[in-house]
Amino acid sequence: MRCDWVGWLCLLVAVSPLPLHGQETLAQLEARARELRARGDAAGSLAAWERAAALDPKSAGIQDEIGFLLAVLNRRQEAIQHFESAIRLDPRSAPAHYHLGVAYWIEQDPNRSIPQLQSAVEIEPRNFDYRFHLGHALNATSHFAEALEQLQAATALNARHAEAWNQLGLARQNTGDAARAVEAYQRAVNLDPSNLDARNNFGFMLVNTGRAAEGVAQFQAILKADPSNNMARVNIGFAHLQKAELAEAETDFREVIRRDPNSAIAHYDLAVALKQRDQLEAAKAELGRALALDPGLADAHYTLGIIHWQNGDFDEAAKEMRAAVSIRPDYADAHFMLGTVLKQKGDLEGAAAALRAAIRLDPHNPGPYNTLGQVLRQKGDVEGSRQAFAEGASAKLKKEAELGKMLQGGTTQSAGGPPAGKL
Amino acid sequence: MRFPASQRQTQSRRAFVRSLCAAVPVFSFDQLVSALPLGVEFVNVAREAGLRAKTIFGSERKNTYLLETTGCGCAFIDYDNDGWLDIFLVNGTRFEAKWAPGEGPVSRLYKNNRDGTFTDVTFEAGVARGGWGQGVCAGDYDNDGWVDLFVTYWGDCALWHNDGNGKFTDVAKQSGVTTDRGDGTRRWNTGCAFVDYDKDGRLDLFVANYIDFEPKTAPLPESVPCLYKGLVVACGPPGLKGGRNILFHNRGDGTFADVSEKAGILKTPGTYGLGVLVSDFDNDGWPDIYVANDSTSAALYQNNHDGTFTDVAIEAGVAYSPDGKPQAGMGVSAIDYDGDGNLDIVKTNFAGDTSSLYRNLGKMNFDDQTFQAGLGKNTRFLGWGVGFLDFDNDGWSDIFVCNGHVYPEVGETELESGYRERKVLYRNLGNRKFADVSTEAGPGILEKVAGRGCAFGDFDNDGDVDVLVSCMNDVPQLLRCDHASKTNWVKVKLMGVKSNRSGIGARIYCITEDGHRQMDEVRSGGSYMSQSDLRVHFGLGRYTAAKLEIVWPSGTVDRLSVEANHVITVVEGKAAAR
Repeated sequence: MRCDWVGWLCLLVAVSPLPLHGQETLAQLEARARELRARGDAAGSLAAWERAAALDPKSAGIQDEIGFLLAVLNRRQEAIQHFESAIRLDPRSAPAHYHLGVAYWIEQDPNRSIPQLQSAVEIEPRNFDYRFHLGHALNATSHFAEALEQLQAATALNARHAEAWNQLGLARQNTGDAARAVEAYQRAVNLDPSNLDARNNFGFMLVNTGRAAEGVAQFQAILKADPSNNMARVNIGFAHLQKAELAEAETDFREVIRRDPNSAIAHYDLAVALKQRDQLEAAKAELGRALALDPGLADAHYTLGIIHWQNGDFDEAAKEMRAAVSIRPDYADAHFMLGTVLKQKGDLEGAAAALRAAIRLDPHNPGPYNTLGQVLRQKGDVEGSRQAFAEGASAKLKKEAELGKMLQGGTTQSAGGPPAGKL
Repeated sequence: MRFPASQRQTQSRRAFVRSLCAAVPVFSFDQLVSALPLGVEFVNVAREAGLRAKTIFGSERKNTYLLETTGCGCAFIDYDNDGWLDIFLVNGTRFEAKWAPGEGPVSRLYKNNRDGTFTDVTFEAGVARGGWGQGVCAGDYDNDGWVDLFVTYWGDCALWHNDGNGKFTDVAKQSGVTTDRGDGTRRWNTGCAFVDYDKDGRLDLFVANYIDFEPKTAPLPESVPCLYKGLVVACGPPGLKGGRNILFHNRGDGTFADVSEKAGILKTPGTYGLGVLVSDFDNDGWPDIYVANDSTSAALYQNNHDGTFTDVAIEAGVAYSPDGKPQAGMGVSAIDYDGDGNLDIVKTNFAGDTSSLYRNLGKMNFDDQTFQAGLGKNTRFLGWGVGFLDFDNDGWSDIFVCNGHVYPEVGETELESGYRERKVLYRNLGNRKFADVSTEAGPGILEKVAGRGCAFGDFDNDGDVDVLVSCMNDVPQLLRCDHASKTNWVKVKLMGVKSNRSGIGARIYCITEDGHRQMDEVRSGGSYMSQSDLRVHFGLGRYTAAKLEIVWPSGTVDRLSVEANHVITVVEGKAAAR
């Protein structure tokens, strides 16, 4: 059988069944079930626990054990029912909350998973696994500040867990603490040099904190461990792209494409490198190839739209931006650009709708407010226009204040003249 | 006026191409005009001309403060009234340098020898001042017939009064324009312009400010760290406190009063002001002021005709990029590039962005036409000085952009286009579109420098527009414009009587026989903290004559007919050209 109960006991080995006894007591059944589980006989253990449940239907622990084994046997829906049953019997059962949270997570249902993991942590705050998995889930759902708290606690409980440090790095990175993110990733890589995900994150943060050569060295280490890892090559190219070493980036991406002509992301990245060198026609061609390979690549539609926009071809630009938002309805920048292009085409109604969508998705970006202000002004809505400009000014002030705090507080900023929204 | 019959039968090159286009529809007009040879090249003659002093500005390889990055402006002025343009180059300094007495860098004044060379007269003229020089603007503020200079600094500014005998005297303190706060902190003054904003016949003075900067409190690159494309670089300006612009009113007795608050200038919050452009954008006869701000929205101070201004940049559509984003504005220029009777704006921006072209639709409404006009394809350059100039004298103003990266840390890598960058030259196709002709426009355009301010003027009086470029920690460039064949032009020098003596703010229309109507104004300041020739240049194409109409700030209108290829001096109210 296939075991996809990720990170959990997966003890399916060939075992010889233990002899059955006549009328066993509850204690005997529990002991035998544990023994079978320890020997890797999930099915046998499950049968014993089910018989124990018949004797003690009010035991939350037995329901949790049954749920666990069902999950190991890949009978996840049944497992969930037993975890829920365990919690009904004992709402303070931390293992049941934890198992149910993980089961929901495997079912790709974070909204139901995270509250269960939170309950487990609340009941047993000193359990490393609970903290770690909750932190992991929060990171994965972009709740980085909350993840940070859990992962700091988790690494305090177990400082030897490489993946916990990797996740802590991710949380720190996404809450603006670049320097300490680097430290966390480094620790993860030191604890487990074979954790290529951590090494990849470490490499990226090194690149992004001005240590590009060290970052590329990490990607090269990944390639050494796994020469077929084309993604590491893409990352090396991306590192060059970040450093605006565009010729090197182009070479890297062409090599990836040579090895894997069907890599849509490599064609896309190559297009970005070409575009940054103002080779717009060549970039368009690469974006075309990327989209032929993966029509769902919203970023490629967006970038292609930007190139059409730069060329003054607003019809084509609008078409690409529409494609981008249809693939990713929460793509705020694409809604924003669609609004801009429609405004320039003279479609003020369409522009206003797209800009309002952009504002709804990213209310902190002053740009859509300002463009909406222009659109409303052109439509003769003076009051609406004033309000949009005022909201844009307010968003701008907030951003500037945040930047000021970063400068005074010593956290990384993208310095200098380049304001947001580069071509 | 009547034009000779022979001239009426002469077709311009553009008209010829237009007719060809009609006959052969397989090619577009743009394609055909773009394919025409330029017949013009720019050649750097700075060394031969004797412009040998380096502009010193911050460390050459790594900067600690933003102050070390912004560079200087420069000026084409005729300080001795001999009809030949002289050169003024603002100079800076370096934090770590210990200059021996008398050996520190100073701003330079070069007198035109009228033979293509210049003589350094800095010390004789008395303008040898050091410090963190920034920008320069010119105007005869006391109406004595001799053009004066205002030079901005991080710290006290200089008002160089032209004494009329080849010497200048710094009268900033006694005139009340030092910009000294009196509390020990220094203003970072940048672009400037003389402007008669209340039309009383006397030139007032506008001074942009960048950030409130003191080295002791400024964030250091490594301590933050401040990063650009993975490189640790000088911090700011985002996150730093923006400086407040200043407006000085000329009292008429040699002194100025700070009227910034009264005039409404301080209603605009502290911004990162750099380039200053004065023009009558709404055609109401009153000068308005546009300021290119770095990393934030630009400002457009509309003149309310009562001594006050209102910042209408956002409503007018000249504050942001076409998608409503703030840009890193640097240099600015204005012209009516499409001949519709409204003055349009071009503004340079940061790398990864394009220059901005704002088409004036009239009544203080602009539309960003950057992409429609063909200026959207160059994003790897970082623009500073900029000007509309008719380099080929075809009667349509082209665009010259001076580039160079902010951060020396980028070196000569391929980061954008490296620290040293070439220029970009756009040719006006006459149909609201421009073509990038940089690679055809001679070695002066392609030579890579860390350019900052640039000024436009015909230093050799040969009827075309040359360009002076201030370069970071380098000698300047003097880009002589050489034409392969003869072209026609007219240059207009104004002398105000009721209006200010320099004629600053006067609007000049130039109409050729085909009805093509050009328009420009006599302008102080502009580009990137620089001063271009106060004489207004018009290319006439094939036409050997033109009609001029001059609308003075006083309201006086002079009309005259002129022959091509002359510098015409017009005294206010005396339409007969001298």
